[in-house]
Amino acid sequence: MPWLDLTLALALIVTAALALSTGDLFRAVVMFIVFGLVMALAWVRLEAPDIALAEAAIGAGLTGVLLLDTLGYLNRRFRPVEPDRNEAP
Amino acid sequence: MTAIELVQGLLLAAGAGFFAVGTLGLLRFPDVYSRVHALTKADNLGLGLIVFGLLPSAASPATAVKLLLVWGIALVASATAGYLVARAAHRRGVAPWTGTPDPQGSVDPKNRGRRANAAHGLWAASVPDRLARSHPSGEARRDGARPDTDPAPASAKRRFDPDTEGER
Amino acid sequence: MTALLELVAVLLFATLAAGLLRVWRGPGIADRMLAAQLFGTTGVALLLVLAEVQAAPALRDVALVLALLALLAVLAFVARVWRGTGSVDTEDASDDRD
Repeated sequence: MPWLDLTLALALIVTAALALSTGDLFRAVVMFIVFGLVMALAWVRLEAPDIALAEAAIGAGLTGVLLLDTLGYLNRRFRPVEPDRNEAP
Repeated sequence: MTAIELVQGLLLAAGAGFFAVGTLGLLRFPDVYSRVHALTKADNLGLGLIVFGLLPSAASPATAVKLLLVWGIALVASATAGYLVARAAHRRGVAPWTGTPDPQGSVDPKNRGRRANAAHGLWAASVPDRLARSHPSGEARRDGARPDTDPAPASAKRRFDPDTEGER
Repeated sequence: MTALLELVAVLLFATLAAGLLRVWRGPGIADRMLAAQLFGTTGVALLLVLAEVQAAPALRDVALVLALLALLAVLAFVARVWRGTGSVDTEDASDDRD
């Protein structure tokens, strides 16, 4: 399946580049989740299903959850930005 | 090609078609609610058809049970996720798309079929009031906010910025 | 039969790649998350098809894990990021910079 492998490699590069280059943190997190999924598929095509299992569980699953949780924490923690800046002498 | 293989091929093609249509809906539909709608169809039916297409060539009953288990989990997951996202959007007061064509034809023709002004929509007459009452903050977004180019107030666009955040 | 399965696999991955556009454009953060959820299900279907093509039964276990964990991401998103009944925790990043 050369076409699948080709688009897979292309998607890997594109998602990685987008996840790294975007300024929006949430977009970067979602891109990272998608990158983990595509990476798992790439491991499958490389005939390494065990690594694909680990990548799907850790890369696409748990790391995504942890990053989303962190993002929610940051958004709550750093909510009052403008009032603080206005009050600051 | 036996009859079973023919049926398998049809099921697989239909499943892939559902995924394609679901992605098309995700790309083309105007707001969160309709995208949830497109998505859950693709999840449930697309994966279901592909699973049933693969089922006859399963080597053992255990494999077949595993395939059905994957589908069952995906069913539960997609239904739960769709419900949660739609409820969260409703609670946050995200206004539904009000692109109903105007019966008097007073809508700007270039808006027709896209996002009409909220004041012209049938939904706008009834639903946002209900939203405003049920919404805890009492402030639903009644301005018929266009989902794609939502003119959020500038103060609401702040987000955490790691570059400047440490300076406070 | 194998040719058809390969065709289905390529088509599934093509839809996944097309969905990347929605992740990039948003506009709301929920739209990006929904796209990620569709990617999860598409990946599950793709893994099941590839398990048949490559005669690798272990891939069905990968699909099982992926189906389970794709739900967790959406749960974390709704419960931790997009929460807020009335009080606006996190705004829809309707973002048009970059």
